[in-house]
Amino acid sequence: MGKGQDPVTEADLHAFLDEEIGAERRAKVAEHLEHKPLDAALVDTWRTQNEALRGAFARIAREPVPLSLSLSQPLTVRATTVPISARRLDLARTARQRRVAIVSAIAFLAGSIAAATSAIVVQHLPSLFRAEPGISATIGRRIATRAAAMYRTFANDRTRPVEVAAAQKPELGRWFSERTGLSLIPDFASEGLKLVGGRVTPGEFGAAGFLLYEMGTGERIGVFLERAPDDSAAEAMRATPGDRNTSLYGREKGTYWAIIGSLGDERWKQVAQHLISQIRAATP
Amino acid sequence: MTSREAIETLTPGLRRYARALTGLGNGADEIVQATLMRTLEEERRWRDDELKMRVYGTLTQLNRQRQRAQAVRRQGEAPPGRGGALAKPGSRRDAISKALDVLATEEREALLLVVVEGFSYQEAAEIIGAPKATLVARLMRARGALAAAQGFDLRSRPSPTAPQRAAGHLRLVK
Repeated sequence: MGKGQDPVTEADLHAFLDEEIGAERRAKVAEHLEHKPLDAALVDTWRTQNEALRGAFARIAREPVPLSLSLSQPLTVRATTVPISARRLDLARTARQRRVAIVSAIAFLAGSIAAATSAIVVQHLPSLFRAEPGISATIGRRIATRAAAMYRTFANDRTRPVEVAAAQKPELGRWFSERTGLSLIPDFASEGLKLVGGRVTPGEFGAAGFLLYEMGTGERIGVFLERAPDDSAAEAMRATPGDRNTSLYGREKGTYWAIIGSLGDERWKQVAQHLISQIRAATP
Repeated sequence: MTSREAIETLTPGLRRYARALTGLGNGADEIVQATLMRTLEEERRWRDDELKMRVYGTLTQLNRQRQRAQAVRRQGEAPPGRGGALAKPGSRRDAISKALDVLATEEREALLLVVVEGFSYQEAAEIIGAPKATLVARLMRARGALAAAQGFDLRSRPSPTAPQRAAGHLRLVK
């Protein structure tokens, strides 16, 4: 043992543990540990840590891969979504009892981590959002797609963009409530959006509501609302770009929501946030 | 384009890495999905040995972006740690998982890539985009910080006292 010549360092101890060390050096460290109990204790500590770490997370790699991550299914829109387990999709499909849940996910300003994740993806990875045929969507994306189709169909209809106009708001509210279980007609006056009116439409699970709002410029925004058949936790907002329009969608307190149209970023945030808070207020 | 089959075999490990790295619970799968999408989009076809490091590298980058954006949103607050701080109260988490919260992101990356995901120092260094010496330094810091967080107080300088081997807690008194 050459004293003082290339002494064993802490880095050596780590390399020893991780088997990142050459044979000769390894022998030197092994001998060092025989005589240095504190260093041996250090290595033991890290070894125990290793085992604890692997043990804590091993089961995740053994879990069945959630549907949202399964690439063997086709997706229609490439966007990040919260994974929905196969069981939840089954519940959604049967959907015998729909509990009203207005999901308002405008999550740019919500504090949840999931929201932060999705917002990041929207802001930093716009290349993700390209429509690609052949991939099956999770519920959220299906709703966004459905809402976008409604927007395309109704928003610029000159004859009858809505069934019930804003002037008959109470009637609209009763109609919505009866068919969809939604007791909320959101108001966006503070964002400069005027209600044009709305209609009951087919939804993912049953009947849904579709509302149109108008900006001062005459441009229109669509808001889609549908109660979810189960009461899973809130999911963050997602964005999917259409050709010219963008839709934001998500789920809040059991209601799926989507906003479609083209707004500046700031306005999106305000409308989204306002929608979420109205949904929260309306949902016990 | 990279084959989906090749990516699918990597997904379970990727989920595990994402869960441990982000502390987001089920939400970690979102980052995995973003990673898979991005990888699928790439024109270049990756060889199998390259692919694994590529997807882990992408996930690592996406998580850093996520945390940076969080930092922007929370200007003035404490620097964002792992998402674990916002995990649902009462959710079941191992002690070690909670202990990971104390680590800086870059330390956590190094530790998880080497210990849990089984990459070599060189591979892990490539994944995080840093020299090997940096990777090793971060790993060393991570282990030290984790040990400290779990009640260990070990110093590397040998002393003639306390000869027992550590199986549980060990206090070093100089």
